[in-house]
Amino acid sequence: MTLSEQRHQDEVEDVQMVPLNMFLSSSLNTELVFSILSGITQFCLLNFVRNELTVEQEKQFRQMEYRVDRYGDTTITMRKIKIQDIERWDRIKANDMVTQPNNGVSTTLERKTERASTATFRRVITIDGLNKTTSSMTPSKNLSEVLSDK
Amino acid sequence: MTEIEHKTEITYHKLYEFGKLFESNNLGLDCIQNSFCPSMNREQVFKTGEGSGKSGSFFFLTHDKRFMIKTIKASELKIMLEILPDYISHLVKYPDSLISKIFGVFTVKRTRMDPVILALMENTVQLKSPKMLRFKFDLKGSTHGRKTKGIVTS
Repeated sequence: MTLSEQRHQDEVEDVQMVPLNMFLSSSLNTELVFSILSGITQFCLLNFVRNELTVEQEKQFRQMEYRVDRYGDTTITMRKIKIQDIERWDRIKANDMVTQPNNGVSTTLERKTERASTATFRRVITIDGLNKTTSSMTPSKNLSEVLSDK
Repeated sequence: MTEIEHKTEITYHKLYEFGKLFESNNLGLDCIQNSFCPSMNREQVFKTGEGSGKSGSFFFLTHDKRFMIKTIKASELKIMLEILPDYISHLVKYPDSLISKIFGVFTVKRTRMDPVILALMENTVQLKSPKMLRFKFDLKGSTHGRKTKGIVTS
């Protein structure tokens, strides 16, 4: 692969990742981030299983659904997540961050959504033929939310 | 306690290979669980994306600022897996190496969503006090503005 082909491929990958990154970065999907954090702690149970586990850790380990393939990749499947005090994770909390009086200074969420939406448009304008790719990704729902807010 | 039913599959690529890095860095189960405990990272979740740069990539820093999770591209995952044996043997041999430590690469799959590839990295800036940080340099690979017109003669 030539350098220019590599660059083009990198740009295509960048474009494809914009809606996904925006979705993740906008804090609108706390459930997914929660799952990622839970997943990492569960993998560590697998990794440290030879060590002594506490009663609670052993209970978690027994409830885990995992498989190891021939390439040494380990996959855990989480069918449901348990969240304590879910109201503390509610999206309303994120909205509160936007509506708080800020004396003219952009809040965290505003800055992030603004940057993400700007990034999306920049990419779509500069690289032709990729609108289809970006719009086909599920997280674009959040882009429309952002746009309607604006 | 609220239960949310949504199937999520997380694949930790080469878990047992990366496990050697955890051992060589004396990272125990309690340490990891403390850093990634969801309830302790609630505030951090709302800060995801801060400082993620121009690309707007997902960037998560744990509450103790010890680890970070960021999205990587499929091509980067491929390269990482290619160099993994050498990378791990180097870091195990030289635990004080200044090379950025990547403790794992994951693929997260959920229904109705494209797979997300993430890297779990050690935060290289871990200071006892923020005052210890005097200078911060951001190295770039760009060639923009780095070319001269030619040899300048007097």
